[in-house]
Amino acid sequence: MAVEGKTLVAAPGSASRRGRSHRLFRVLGVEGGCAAAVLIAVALAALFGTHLWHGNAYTVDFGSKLQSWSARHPLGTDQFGRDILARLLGGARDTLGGAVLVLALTTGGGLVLGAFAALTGGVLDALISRTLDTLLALPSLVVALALVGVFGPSFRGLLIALALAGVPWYGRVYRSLVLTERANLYVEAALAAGATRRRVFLREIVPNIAGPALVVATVNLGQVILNLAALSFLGLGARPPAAEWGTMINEARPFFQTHPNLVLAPGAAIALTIVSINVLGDALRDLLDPRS
Amino acid sequence: MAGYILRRLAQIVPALLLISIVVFALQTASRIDPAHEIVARQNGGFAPPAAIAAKRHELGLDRPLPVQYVRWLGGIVRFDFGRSYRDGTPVSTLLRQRLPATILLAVAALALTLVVSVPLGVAAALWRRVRLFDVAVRVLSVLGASIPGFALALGLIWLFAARLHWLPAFGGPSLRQLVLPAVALAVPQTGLLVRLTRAEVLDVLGSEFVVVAQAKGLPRRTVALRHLLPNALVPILTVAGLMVANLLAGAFIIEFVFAWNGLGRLAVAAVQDGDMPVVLAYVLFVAATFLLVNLVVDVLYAVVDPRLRVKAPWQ
Repeated sequence: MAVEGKTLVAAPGSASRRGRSHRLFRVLGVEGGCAAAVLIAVALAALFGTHLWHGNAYTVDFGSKLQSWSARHPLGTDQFGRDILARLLGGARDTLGGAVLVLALTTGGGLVLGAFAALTGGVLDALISRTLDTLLALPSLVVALALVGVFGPSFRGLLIALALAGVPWYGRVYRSLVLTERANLYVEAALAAGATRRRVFLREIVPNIAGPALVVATVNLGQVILNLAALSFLGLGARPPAAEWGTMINEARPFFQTHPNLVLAPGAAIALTIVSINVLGDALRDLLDPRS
Repeated sequence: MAGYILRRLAQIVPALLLISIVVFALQTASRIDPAHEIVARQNGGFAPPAAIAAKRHELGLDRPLPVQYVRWLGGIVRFDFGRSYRDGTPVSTLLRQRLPATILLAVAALALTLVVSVPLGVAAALWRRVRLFDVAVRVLSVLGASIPGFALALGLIWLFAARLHWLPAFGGPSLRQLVLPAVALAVPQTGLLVRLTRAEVLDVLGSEFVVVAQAKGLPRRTVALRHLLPNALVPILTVAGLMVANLLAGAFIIEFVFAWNGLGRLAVAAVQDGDMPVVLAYVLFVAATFLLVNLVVDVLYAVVDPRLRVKAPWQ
């Protein structure tokens, strides 16, 4: 009896302990697990990076400019003698934080607009849908470029421009998500029970579309980072001495032919982050939709 | 067929009108006052308030917004996009000067993309059991979607211009200077198209008419060229059309890196300077390009697939 009880307790216990250390990999597969690990590392760098590495990220020190890699400066220094590793860690906050902010704004805007169109219906819905469809004829990067022209080049202006440029696409996605959810019987029941439209939206529909909405946002995070870095690279976003990764590459342009590490470091950081996001997005999609 | 084309053309007009309203709203929302810009340019940076007020009246900026919109639209229809704030050149002249370089770059990049990725995609589908192909396609498509175009461009310049001295990095348009920007533009598209081609060919490979063709004992090459490829190419056509539009509109980053004198570089400089007429003309150009390319793709679709020419009963 005692032996039986022991095995009964021990077996699932050891399995779950073994499972926990590899849970990331078991759920997402090897590639997805690695991608998630990289992203967690990048997120930690964005949050605590400036405390992890005591390099000089922002102050000019011409005595140590354009150095190659060494123990003191693992990735070398730039044309102002600033430590490149420290700038990468500092820039992670601008690049990733900015991209997450853009995603939050677009998701919010798209959700409100899409849900409003879907739940109102009629002429207003048709008008909003047609407008969104037409605006989709414009690539969002070009819209963002034009909006930066309207707001004037600044990091905040760039974030708002990118968020607004994404609204048509998100609005359409969320409109169809809300429409599908709206057709369910429980929504009908809630409406029949006398719940207001706002209550139905917030209490019934939003919790049910949160999952798909999160996947949409994750899959698009890579594209947002690319666009943010691209427009910053054109000098339309974060201003020097900010260490945003695209801005770093822009600043390095006059020197990179002799010192390619100035471009290679931030370029690799962007590429690695985006590869991880794309791989993780694929893994998440496989996980949630086994058919594909 | 003519009726079909006319019907599709008629659908473009409301879309363009709507986009023109949005673009006009952007112009109105801009913090830059056109009258101030023009007066300041003509007086060497000095802009007295009286002169600005007079200019505002002359430009019609003191009239109601709908009136301003109609006047502005009237100009656009006649290809009058106003004058650049920078040096007073008509924007239409600037567009005309820069358009050929952009088209040259887009066509070169598209040709490169198609030539590389369609055969590669077909090969990857036909020899999908060769593991090397499978891995190569996956790596290529993930990297193509993940490496920022501008970082790739700088890498190409470093390797082929600074290190090996094989090709010039900047300037143009000329054939030798075309190579690097075209490659930089083509790589991200190649990954996408290889994956799509592979999926389409695999899809068609499973269909019954291919099985029948093989069962009849037709040679492999005949099956591949006569039965497989034409059917797989139809969806690829759509994506290729979208790519043309993307290459014409999205090339501004690559044009900036390579100092390629196209429309995109013009637009980036205009955004940096707050030269709104040029920016807005660029947006209109992009919109018109996208709508027109979509139209051409639809018409080509109808040519390839006669079923689409018939008006569906529910339309």
